[in-house]
Amino acid sequence: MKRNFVFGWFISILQSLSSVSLLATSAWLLSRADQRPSVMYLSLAVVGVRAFALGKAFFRYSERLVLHDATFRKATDVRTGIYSTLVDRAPIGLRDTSVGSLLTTMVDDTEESLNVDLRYRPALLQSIAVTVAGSAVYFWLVPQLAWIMLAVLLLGSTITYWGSKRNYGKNLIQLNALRSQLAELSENAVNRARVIRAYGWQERSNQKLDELAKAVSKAESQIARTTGLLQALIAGAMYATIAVALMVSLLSGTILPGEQVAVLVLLPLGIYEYLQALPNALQSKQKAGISIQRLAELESLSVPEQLVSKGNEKVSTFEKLELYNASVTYPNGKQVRLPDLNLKQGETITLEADSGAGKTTLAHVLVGFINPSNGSVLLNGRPIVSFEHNSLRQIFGLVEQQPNILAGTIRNNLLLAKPEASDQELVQVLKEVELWGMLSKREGLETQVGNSGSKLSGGEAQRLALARNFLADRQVIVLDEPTSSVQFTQGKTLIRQLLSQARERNCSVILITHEPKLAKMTDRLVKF
Amino acid sequence: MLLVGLGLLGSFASVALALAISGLIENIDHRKPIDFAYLLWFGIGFLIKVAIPFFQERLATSVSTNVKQNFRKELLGTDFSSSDVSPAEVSILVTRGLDALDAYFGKFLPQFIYTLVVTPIMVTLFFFVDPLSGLILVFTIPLIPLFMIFIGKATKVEQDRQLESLTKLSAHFAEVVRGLSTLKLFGRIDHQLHVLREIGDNLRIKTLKVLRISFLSGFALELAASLSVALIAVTIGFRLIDGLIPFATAMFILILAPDAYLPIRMIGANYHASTEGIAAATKVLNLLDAPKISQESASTYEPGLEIWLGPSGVGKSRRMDKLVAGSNAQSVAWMPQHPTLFPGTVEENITGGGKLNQTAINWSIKFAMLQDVPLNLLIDDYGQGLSGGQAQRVALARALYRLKTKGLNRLLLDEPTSSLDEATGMEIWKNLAALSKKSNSIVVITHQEKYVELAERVIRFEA
Repeated sequence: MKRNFVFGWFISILQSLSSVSLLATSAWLLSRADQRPSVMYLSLAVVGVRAFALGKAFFRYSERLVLHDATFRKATDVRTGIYSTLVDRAPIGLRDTSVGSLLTTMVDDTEESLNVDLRYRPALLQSIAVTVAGSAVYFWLVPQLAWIMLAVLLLGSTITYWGSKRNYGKNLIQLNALRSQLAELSENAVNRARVIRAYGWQERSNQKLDELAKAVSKAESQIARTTGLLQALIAGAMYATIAVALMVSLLSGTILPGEQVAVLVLLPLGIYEYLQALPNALQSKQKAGISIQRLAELESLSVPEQLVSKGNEKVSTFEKLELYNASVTYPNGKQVRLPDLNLKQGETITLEADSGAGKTTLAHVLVGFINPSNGSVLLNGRPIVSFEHNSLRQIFGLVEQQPNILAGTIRNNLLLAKPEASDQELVQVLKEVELWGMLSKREGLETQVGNSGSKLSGGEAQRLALARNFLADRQVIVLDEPTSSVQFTQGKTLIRQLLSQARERNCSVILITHEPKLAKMTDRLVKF
Repeated sequence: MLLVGLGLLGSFASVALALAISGLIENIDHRKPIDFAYLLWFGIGFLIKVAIPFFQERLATSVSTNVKQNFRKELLGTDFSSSDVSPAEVSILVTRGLDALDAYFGKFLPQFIYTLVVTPIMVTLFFFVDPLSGLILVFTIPLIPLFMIFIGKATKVEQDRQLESLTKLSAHFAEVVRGLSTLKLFGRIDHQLHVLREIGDNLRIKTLKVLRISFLSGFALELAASLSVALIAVTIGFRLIDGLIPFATAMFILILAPDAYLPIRMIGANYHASTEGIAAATKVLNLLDAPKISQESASTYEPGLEIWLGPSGVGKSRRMDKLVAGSNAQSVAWMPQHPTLFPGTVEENITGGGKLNQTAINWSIKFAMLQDVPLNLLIDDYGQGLSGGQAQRVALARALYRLKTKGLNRLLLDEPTSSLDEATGMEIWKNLAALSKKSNSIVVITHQEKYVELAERVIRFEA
């Protein structure tokens, strides 16, 4: 992967050298021609001029292609790397606010971080290459001048580098923070626009936004000022070099042949073209640096101890589940008590819980997203922590309050649960959860569900989630608040259907709800 | 305009420097005494060249900032609730979309105008100094935009498709991260890793196919510019041998030739930014033109408790929205179906951060059964920190506080008790019934039939 970049950078260097050579050779050609030699003496320079002109364009083209190819390759690596680190923490370990803020910028950070290799490195290497080549020519022609030029360039680049690091680094971090605050506040304002209007709170909300926007533009102009200063500095250094070259040529009088004067004076102009790009390249490096740091932070996150699978036993059939006096400690320190309950194979129970009482925690313990910290949770008479998390997931299924539907088709979403299933099987299970009627009027298995299932209603999403669990042959299904998104009478029908299908398949069901009336439909009610 | 002027000043400095440098080289080469006018020109050009970057970057930033601020205010001040626009779309536009305008107004537009002005001037100057070189410019410069348009047209569709697939890739990745728990539940973690790789590789291959063509426009641009410089250098060289052109003129043309191509090349470099900016601007303007919610006459209020019943999706909330829309908002206290709380304390959420009216807040808290929630409890950005039922009661207290402090008598509640347990819900409904007796008009949307007996009027919405 690195090899592709190195090749690209090599071409970048060739490109810059062609460009500077084009100018130098042209200058040499003109001043030599001025001495009226035979055409023969010029023919090599003429060829050179044409070759460098072609090379400049050609190398530019290949450089861009090679570097973009390398960048795309690296992007995939970065994404898969992040994915692998997130997997072990999901879903509970990703809820902390510290992780949350890293996650929101993750997609952008991935793209931003690549700019180091795509933009900064080639620009830097080109500047170094043209400077070194230019100095070499100077050394060859007038060594004293070469020292002066090197001194000017070294001083200039040191100031540029130091100045950019000092100013860009601090200001970009500040700008980034301000920008994300502004984005957050704007999003707040947009999401709550109706309440803001209905309560007459516009002025306050706008005032805050304006203040922040002003701060953002102030930080932006500070960065712009740094860029301007650095570019002025580079321009100054280059023209100063030209002035010195002119002066030295003038003083050296008869010693220096005419064609050399032109080369000495025009070389800095060619170099300038590349040095000019440095401030922006340095800025993109600093920006990328911030992103890289955030990504590194994300990748270095350790997995909280209670999320790690500790057991190595496997389980294939569900017999019974017993909870007594158990509780869970979340990574943020929050303690949640679990209900006391018994569940035997084939039984359906209602768990009545207040909203906010950690009702989903039970489900998360059962599917091995988190380990219980105290009390006893026994599966088939053995502590649940002695089983492998992956193995637990093959027995327990979860229909979440807002089920996670992946963008794509109904078929994709179902195959997730059973990749080898035939279409017939898929249609059968959709009939069982009474989704097929609706889907057959649309595009059947090919029906698009929209981003995060946005084209499905809440009830439809839950039926689809249940269908996935049926396909995957889960033996215990936890239904989490299936009525919250639909009207009560509709909800009752939904649950009655879900329960009867589960019974037919001999599944055990834990129905979590805050509607006590639903309890009649299950075998037992457990209050919590 | 200032930016264009700055660009012109820069071109002037380039000409001055070219004049000075070529003249000085000629002086030295031909062992002539130094012409001090050249030194003066060099000094002027030098100063301008150093001074310009100071102002250019800053001007560019301030131009785009003003444009952005105006757009932002207008977008945030518009009621999109009835149109198809999702809040997510608006917030993306308000943040990312407006940033894209930066490049357009700050960089592309000034560069474009500057190029239109300066290129003819340069060509005329070349004609004036050396007609043959001028002719070369006339023939090569139009080639650049021609190539760009030609190649741009050829790749436009594919480029759009590629941009789309890039966004899709980011979206897919975000979706995968969101769906991690489901993938885990079904043991599809490793498979998805494979999918991610595959999608990335496919995209890379497809994109490079497009880039191979679209980078051609850059290639043509670069080639036209550098070959022209070579062409000018070679033709001038041969004419020099024959003594057909003065040396100083030859040098002048060589130094200035790249500057003649530079403006138009810079347009090429900023072109991508401009398309994004244009797309963003179009979106913003379209949004502002989107249909707004219509306001319903507020004369329909009668004192008493009115219940709106009906299955979800028949338009109860939409009807209520009309009663809150526009200037109606001033005369009603409304509680939305979703609590919609703000980051901050519970108290700030109820009062809106203004001066605290102690009697009103005490009354609201008692009414909304909010005694179990401390007023200084912090609610974070996602409304976390409260349970669903608590958030609902905070939103109710907020509407009540407004009713009391503004001296209003119209209360509109959209499902105020749907997440509450039976006992608490009943208490609140009793409070509502009592309040309605004091010549207040209260309209409540609900799914819960059991409260019908408390109402004076029941309106049933049919599917």
